[in-house]
Amino acid sequence: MKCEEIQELISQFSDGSLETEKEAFIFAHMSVCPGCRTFLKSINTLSFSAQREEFYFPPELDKKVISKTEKRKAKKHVNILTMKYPAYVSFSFGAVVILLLFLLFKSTTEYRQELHEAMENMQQQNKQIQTILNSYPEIQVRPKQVNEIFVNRKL
Amino acid sequence: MEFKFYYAKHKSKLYFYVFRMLNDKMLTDDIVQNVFIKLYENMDNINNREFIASWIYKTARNKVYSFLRHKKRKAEELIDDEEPLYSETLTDEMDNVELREMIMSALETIPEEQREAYLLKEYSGFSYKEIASLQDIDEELVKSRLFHARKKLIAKIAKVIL
Repeated sequence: MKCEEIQELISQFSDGSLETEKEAFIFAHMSVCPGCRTFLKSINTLSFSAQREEFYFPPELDKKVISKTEKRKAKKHVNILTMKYPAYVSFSFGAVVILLLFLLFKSTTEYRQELHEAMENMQQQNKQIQTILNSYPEIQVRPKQVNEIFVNRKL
Repeated sequence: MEFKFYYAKHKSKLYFYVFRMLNDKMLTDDIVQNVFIKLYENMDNINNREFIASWIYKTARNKVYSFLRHKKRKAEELIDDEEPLYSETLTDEMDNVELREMIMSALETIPEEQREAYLLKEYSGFSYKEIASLQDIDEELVKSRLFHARKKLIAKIAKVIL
């Protein structure tokens, strides 16, 4: 195996992803090859430098991102009526509104019908009362005085 | 709350990745800001939280490569004169800070796809599988890209580290 191929395996070894049986193979090679030993040492130096990296994030960018997301959060709450909903939500909402309107219309019609019937009954009862009262005889009042007064009263 | 958790977790490493890919502070600021605002708006749509890191890097990567393609088109006719990365007078007492700077400079000179694989592996801590998914390539190719990146970096800084 050429050094180039061994070094490719060394690269995988440094990532911790080389099969165990191949590890013995590369170490056997490195024991007699200073070039590949140096390659492993160099890879370790690179990895060490990466591990020591102090990641930086600009504070002004941090403020910008936080403030923009906060603004969007506020907007989200205010624009709940105007925001874009998925199609199925809009359709469901529309269907519920139509169903409610239909139920309201139906119950109103029934109520009006009942009211109409009740009024008809009342008028009929009123007529019956009038008829009964009209059938009573006339009342005559005869006072026992000189001048007699006759009162004809029709109820 | 959840957004802030993922933002705090990934912001610095993402910034490092984008900056090292583009080497342009203003552009990096723009891209990183857009990525996190997009993440905020899409938090509800990302059902599996395990994929948030991949989602963040994929979104950033699309923007990075979109810019790099644009830059490449503009620079097609220019001759790329590679400058020496370090002075020949460097001494053996170079400290870690200087070594880091040299690695960063050397990173700029290696091919984009190798540089990206190296940054994702060494600095962002992604696995071969995750890098393969991000770069849309086979895992074997990821191993190969990492090897070539390391080889080139070592060649560039050999005089200092050996």
